[in-house]
Amino acid sequence: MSSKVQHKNFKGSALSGAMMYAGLGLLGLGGALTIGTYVSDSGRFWSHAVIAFMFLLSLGLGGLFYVALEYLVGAFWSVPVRRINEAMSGFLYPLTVIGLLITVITIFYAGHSSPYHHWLPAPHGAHHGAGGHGDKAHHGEKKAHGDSHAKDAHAKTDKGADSHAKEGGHDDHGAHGHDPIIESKRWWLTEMRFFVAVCICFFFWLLFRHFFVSQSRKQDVTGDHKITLRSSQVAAPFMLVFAGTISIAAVNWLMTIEPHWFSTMFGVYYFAGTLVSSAALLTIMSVILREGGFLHPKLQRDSYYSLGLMLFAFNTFWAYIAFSQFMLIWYANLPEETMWFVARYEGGWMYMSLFMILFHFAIPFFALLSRTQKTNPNRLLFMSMWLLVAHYMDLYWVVMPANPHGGFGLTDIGFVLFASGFVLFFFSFFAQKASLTPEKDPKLAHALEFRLH
Amino acid sequence: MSRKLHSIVALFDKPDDIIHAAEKTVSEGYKDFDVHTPYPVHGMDHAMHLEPTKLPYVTLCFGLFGLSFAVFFQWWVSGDANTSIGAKNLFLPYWLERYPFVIGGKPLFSLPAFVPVMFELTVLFAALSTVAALIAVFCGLPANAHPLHDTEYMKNVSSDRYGLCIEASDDLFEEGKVKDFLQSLGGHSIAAIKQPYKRPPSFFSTLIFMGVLGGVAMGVGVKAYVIYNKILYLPPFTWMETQPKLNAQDTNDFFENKSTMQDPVAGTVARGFMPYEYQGDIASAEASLVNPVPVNQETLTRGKLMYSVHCSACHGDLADGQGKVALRTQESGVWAIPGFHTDVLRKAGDGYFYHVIMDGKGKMSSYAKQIDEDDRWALIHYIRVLQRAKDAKETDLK
Repeated sequence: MSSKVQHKNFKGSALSGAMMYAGLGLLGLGGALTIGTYVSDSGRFWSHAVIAFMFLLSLGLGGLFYVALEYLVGAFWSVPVRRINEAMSGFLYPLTVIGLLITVITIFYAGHSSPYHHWLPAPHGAHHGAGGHGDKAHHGEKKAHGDSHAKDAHAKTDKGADSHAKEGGHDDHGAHGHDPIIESKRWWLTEMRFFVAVCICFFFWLLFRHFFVSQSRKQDVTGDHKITLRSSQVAAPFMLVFAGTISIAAVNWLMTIEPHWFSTMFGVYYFAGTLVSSAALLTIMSVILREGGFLHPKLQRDSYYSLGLMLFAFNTFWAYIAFSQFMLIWYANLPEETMWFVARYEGGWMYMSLFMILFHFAIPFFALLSRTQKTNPNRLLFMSMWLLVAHYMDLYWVVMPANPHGGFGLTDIGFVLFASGFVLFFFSFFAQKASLTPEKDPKLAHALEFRLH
Repeated sequence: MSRKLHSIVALFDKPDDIIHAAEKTVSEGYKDFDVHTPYPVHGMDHAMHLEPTKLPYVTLCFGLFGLSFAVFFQWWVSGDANTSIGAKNLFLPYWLERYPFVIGGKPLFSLPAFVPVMFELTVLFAALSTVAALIAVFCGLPANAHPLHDTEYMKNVSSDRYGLCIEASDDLFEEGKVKDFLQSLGGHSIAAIKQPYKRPPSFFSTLIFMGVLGGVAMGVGVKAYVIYNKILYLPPFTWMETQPKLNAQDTNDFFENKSTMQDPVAGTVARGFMPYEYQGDIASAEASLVNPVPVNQETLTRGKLMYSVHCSACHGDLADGQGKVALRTQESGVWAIPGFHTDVLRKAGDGYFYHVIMDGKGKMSSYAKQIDEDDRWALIHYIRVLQRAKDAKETDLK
């Protein structure tokens, strides 16, 4: 770091240490709670594991997306806070481990407690190894275990009677071939293809994350302007890959929980939630770090306006996408599309659905409408926390109605603690890897001059 | 008559100078002053102590108005006069009738379907009102000129200089003092701007100006109409518009009623629309109608299809009067739906069934529109099959 810039170093500061210790504590507490309750309800454990994982993935992918977006469109206002986005995209490394663990266990080992059990083969078929498990193995297995199917179905009815009713009477024994809708989706819905698609997604995310961040750090040393140009050129193909991979992520981890459902907008829906939640975390960290004196001292509060604007705009975008998905399905009224919304329109879920309209759209909309609100750091901090909670609840609303066991318990609290601990610990961890200001970025001087008036 | 003084102006060379000058002007106590720069200078609002603009409130109010207007309008348009949700009690004239169309089987008041229109009207009202308020209220619409227009000062500040202008309307304004003050700030090209000879245009002259604009618009419209509909069609360029033939709606002296289009001869029947001659007369229908369709595999299959589509919902798949609808009506005790396994119906002729299909019976309405002629007879054959199946004779086994 050059000596003329008078700002505090995040690395080794009291704040970074506090974040790491608090994060570790929350990780430990949350982990203990979730694993403690795993024994009593493993189905809820895995469902909520997917929620927490997808929430953290939103933050990681959002960080990566904003880094690439800045290069792609040549934005300058976000340069002083780009390191925050880069630190968020670092989440993708631990998330690769967590994601692959969750995927392998829920797909190959968890049996009926897997949230994907509707399309997975019956549990006894799941105990063979991951390797050599193509379509042929599938058919053989179908024949071999055909006779034990009845017994199996019986055991299942006891456990998940509610889910059967919700699925509109579909037989959800997956690979046994009774379900024409699931059979028609078999070109995608096999364990191996699921696993391979997930691996490909992680591969591309880590590849691009590594490229953008390492180049950005290299620029701190060399000050080479060509690095910015090269990153812009890579950002364009990244966007195409990103669009595909985030759709795959949303479809694989969230949509296949209810495999009978058809919606062509679900990928965009998750993407919109990603934009909102990562903009919220970016805003929180920007405000905390700037007010704490860790960012560039010339960075004015005027820049908060851009963050507030982004929060406001992307939250409205989320509402637009969420409503578009609902309205098209509501209007066409096709059973294979409406079933997903019907499940969220009945009983307690109806209250949550209506509540989400207020909580995720109406209140944040008016709370961030005026310029005064968008530039007020306290308001921004509060609304960013609000929107992070809203995105978590949104994912809960997507995943949980498929889980036949109702209620709210220690598992849920444990995963929320785990996710917050993860954010605190790994943000602090990755933010200490480099200076919080990209000192030699050619756009930095322009960015620091950003004023509203 | 000497022209009244409008303001004293001064030019500055650097953006920092003009910001400094603005701050000084505020601290000196001047209120009616303005700054002109070739581009937005950052920090100027702060230096001039400008209040935040009130324009967003206009946008918000009209946006909310557009939203509620859209809800009200769609509720009213699609309201059903026979239900309380409709605009029944508004006592509106007949030409303000509502349009209670059922679309896609949705309720008349369907909020999700209204949301796109609510969104559009919110944006439309907010945007238009913002522009209108900006021009009319914040810029003062009747004034379409300003004393600073066409001055040396304006030429400079719209190219590469920064200008400060203290207006004569200010309470502290004294010509000499202001000039000295501007001098002390480092301004140059200090000049007094006089009001123009002419008064700024009054509201009525603006109205006349708008009237002229409207007249020009109408003139252009009329010109376009005349050229594209009249002049371009002057003979011989008729573009095949006029042809030696009569149009259906033209008058025509050849016929007595002067109409080109003539009524068909009395008793004419449209193809495929043979009227039913035994309307309301089941006895003669049964006596005189004979089933013209032969009994074979094909017609029975067709009859079975027709039966399951049109009859089975009420009369039941087995013609036992236990269809889904029948079960519901029995439950609520509204009315009974008969089966066909009674002696009366076994003995009834094919014409009897045909008449019921054509004319309806009791709560059953006519199915003449739904089922074609041949299908009706095939359907009756299938009813016979069902009747026989429940009433098999000893001889059938031989």
